[in-house]
Amino acid sequence: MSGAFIECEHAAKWYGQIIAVNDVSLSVPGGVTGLLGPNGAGKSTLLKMMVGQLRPSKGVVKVLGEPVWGSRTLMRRIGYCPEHEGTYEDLTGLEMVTALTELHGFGHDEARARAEKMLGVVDLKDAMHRRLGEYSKGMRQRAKLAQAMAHDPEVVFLDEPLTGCDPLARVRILEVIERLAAEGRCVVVSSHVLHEIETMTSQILLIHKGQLRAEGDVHQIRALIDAHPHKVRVECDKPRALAEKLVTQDHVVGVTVDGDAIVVDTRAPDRLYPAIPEAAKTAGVYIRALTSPDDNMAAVFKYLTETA
Amino acid sequence: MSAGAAKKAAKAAKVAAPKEGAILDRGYTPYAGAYTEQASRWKVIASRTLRMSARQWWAILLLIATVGPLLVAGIRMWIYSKIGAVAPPGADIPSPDSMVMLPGGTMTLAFLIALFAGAGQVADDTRAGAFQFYFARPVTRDQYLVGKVVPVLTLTLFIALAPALLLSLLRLALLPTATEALKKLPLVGATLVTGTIEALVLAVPAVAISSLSRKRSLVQGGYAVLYLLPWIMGGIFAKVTRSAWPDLFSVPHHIENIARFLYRQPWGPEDRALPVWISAAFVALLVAGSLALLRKRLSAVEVVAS
Repeated sequence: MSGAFIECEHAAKWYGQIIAVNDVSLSVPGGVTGLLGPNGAGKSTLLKMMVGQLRPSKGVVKVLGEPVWGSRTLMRRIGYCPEHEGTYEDLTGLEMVTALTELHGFGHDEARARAEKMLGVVDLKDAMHRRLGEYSKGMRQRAKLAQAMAHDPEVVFLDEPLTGCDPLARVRILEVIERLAAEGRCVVVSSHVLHEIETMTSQILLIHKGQLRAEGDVHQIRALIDAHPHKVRVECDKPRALAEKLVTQDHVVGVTVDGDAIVVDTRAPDRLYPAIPEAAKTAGVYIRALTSPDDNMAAVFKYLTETA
Repeated sequence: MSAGAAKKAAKAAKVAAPKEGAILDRGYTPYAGAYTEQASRWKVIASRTLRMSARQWWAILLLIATVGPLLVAGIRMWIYSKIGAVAPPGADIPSPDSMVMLPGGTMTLAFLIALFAGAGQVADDTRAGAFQFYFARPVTRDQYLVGKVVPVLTLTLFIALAPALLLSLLRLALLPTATEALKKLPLVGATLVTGTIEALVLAVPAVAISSLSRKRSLVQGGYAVLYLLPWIMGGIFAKVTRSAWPDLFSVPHHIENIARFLYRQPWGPEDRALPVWISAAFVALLVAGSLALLRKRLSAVEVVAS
């Protein structure tokens, strides 16, 4: 294993004429990694190949250095929280998590103890003897998270884990994900909701139309997208005066005055940031705030998917 | 942004991605204990499924309803054995032994429990996406198959076997001497074999059909048609044609044919029956075919989002 928990080598999956995942090569390190992409991008297909539930039509998907398809021993080291329900409404939360933990090869008593502990971690201790049919969506999500962790896996895959959760459940789930990563595990979180991923990690895999569009730290990725000028918003007391000074810079492609602020479009943010205080000093402008509205996941996502 | 630029950016971003994972505190201790035997996974699936099925209203109702045919057949057997002991030779009194064979109504109850319990086994899992949970674990398709068939078989076997077994024991108890009871001991063997065949032929196809659709109602309809239509049509045409061949696809006919053979209870002079080997072959083919179908369907399962 070369430090990566997950490796895809030219992995592809197609169904007849439809290509769901197309020649994807990537590696995922420890910590939290967000698997991003619009609906229908191929996220779930890629995730299921990583979990070993789909056989790649071409290429190899390795988890912990081993091809994951068909490896039953590897399944013990993987935790998976699917997006879809798939839970039995007549079972209690404790019964479900215990049974699924038993299927990993634990004896009944050990499985029950682990299930109780994990249901406690996800704040379901008081509700674990209630039927799943009586659980809210958020509670079911947490129960699914508990079953994914109860066998103590090294790699955890979470497919849209925050879908339908109330704010309290969201906070609890985010805490759990943070804890898993802090313990040295690899957590892959799939979502099409950017701000959800943004609250967990800046490490992303961006999938669009079955292809890997970007892999790595979102800020590094943004810095590499040269086709789109970077936006820097400066709030100040004399926006027009500052705009006059900055527009003369050769790397600045445009300046927009927006009330008490200006938005500068630049091809070289590294040169712009030192130029702003200089220009402010020369023009006698007082700067209140400086932000970069497109150095975030939403902008990266938009830029890399809008060519479709 | 052009497609070329996007590809360039993505390629460059991949180069920038860290090759090694961050060094984090491995603050958890992986499990170092023993694991249960791989082959025993089916038991976990079977016990949970059985527990869930046994909680359903229809299961409770059908299990309770089994007492009815048992009581009726038991009382009739007692009466026939008492009358038979004092009746003049040649009197037309039904044999008490015949009350053990398929006690009236239990085949219908066994059919119904196979219908209710079997129809949802795979269909419900397919619809709900439960394969995602099962096959994210070290569970093989065959272990899942056994874990799903066994609970339906157990429930059906209980209804098909328990009343008949009690009746066969009652029959032995009603005999005046131990020697006569010993002579009738094959009744118990016949009961065990008949009940097992009946349960297999009712339960396994129900689960197999369940793998063909994700709609429980559709499976129940298909299963009911498979059993009832050939039975009704076969009965009608057998009478019209005065031949047993229209009953070739009638499962109840084959079960009764085998039961009569095992209990040594011949058909009536007006009845028409197929040779018993045909019934045995049909039953064996139906069970084997159902298992093969189920295995094929499950081995082809790739877990796709519901």
